[in-house]
Amino acid sequence: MSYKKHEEQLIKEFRDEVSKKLPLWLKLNATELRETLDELESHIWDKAEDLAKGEEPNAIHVREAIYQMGSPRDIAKEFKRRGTPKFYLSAELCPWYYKSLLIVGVIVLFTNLLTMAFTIGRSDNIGQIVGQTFEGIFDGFVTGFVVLSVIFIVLSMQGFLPEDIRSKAKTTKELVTKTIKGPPKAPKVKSVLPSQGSFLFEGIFSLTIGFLLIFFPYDNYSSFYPFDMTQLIPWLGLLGGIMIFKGVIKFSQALVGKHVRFQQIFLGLSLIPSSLNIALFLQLHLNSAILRQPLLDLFPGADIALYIKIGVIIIVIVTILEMIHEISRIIRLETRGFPELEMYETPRTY
Amino acid sequence: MMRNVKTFRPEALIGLQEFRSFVESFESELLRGISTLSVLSVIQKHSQEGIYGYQLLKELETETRSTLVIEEGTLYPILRKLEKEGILFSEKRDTKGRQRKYYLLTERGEKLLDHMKGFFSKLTEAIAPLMGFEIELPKEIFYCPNCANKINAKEYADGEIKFCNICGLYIEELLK
Repeated sequence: MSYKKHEEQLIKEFRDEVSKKLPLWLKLNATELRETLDELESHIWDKAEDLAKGEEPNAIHVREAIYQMGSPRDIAKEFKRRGTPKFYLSAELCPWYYKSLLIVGVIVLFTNLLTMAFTIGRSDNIGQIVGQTFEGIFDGFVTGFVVLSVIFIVLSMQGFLPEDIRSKAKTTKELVTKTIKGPPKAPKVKSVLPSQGSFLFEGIFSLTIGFLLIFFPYDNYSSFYPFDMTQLIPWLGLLGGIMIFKGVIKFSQALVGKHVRFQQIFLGLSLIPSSLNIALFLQLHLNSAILRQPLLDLFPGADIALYIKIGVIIIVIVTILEMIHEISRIIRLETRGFPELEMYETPRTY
Repeated sequence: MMRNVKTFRPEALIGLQEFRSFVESFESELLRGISTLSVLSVIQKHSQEGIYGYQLLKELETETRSTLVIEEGTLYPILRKLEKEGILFSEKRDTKGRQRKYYLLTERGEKLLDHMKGFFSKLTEAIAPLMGFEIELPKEIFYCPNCANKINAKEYADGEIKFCNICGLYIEELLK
């Protein structure tokens, strides 16, 4: 091994050691990693040349330069010290952590409620199923909380910042040189939630229909019905209960107005009547006899079972889509807030 | 400073772990901001040609008479962070067959540094009597009374600036 090669080998070993210790966010960016190591190497050569006092630096000079550079662990530690400490997380990652918790929480709620709806729809042991659902939600929340906390603590310790996670983040330089010409145009805003008036209308409508379905004196008007509704009345009562539940939520949403957190809570709660709705229609499919015979009297020869099946499938699909839409609203509220609030934020220019 | 003390009498106060760690932590906190300010100030002195890491450390050591010493390995994370924040930008140039990275202040960095210098100057002036000495800031430099931004009086005299570029305070009248 020549003398020059030996010096290069020493530096290569140092580069490898530093590279191993560097935080993950830097290792994931190959260009930045190479540039960082190149810069450290350039520094070592500069230092070694200085130590050699005009002579060609030898291995002793290089070794001394590496020693003065500090240990790879200390160098890496400085790269990890990027975020502002807040509890065990960096303040920069906290908003991401809360958003992730919310998204995971909503997904846990959605999947458990959906599972509950389909299980109740095919079984009669409602109490046990509801109990299992709450257990599932609790377990899901705890698991999600623990897993996300561990992930975000590790990311904070590694010095990750949101810009390392974002795939197409604008570079800071772009932001710095951005200037606004003329008065800013009002952004096109699309409302995340319906207006308070719509909520109020939906709430009153659902409450009215709900109470009507429960307290309607069916027996007094039996002569007006086209078929015998005796077996269907308890089912309609349950549907009324779900509608009242939904109405109360809509009414509450009208009352809380543009309070993001409360709106998110009510949107989350609205998943419960939706899932119960699915369960109720699946139960109807399971016990289709309560509808089949009266409808056969009305439409003799028709394949009533098939029509009921198709109707239930459509209702279930529409309800699931509605639940997904509510979840997307929760997430959009978390990430964007209400459009009106956004308009007050003015971009910084330098 | 405390980290540089390698030899001491065992019975000295510095020998106590609690004392040493407290002082080290204090010095580290105090130096963190000052290091950034000093690094930027050295870079500002090379606003035309830029400066590379090793040269920067050497100059810092000379300028501060080895009082403010930044550990060699820790300089580059600081520079990288400042570059990411848009305070610095860098250019790669080939020198002696090696590629060196030269750092320069961005326009935003210049403005931020003026503010940092102004704030630090006013702060030092204010706390100096508590330490038992006094500081008189140069007359030809104007400090914004609202945000302590350092403003070159010559630029005022030329009528180039009427407002503080940090806080927007109307300062033309104040100079008269």
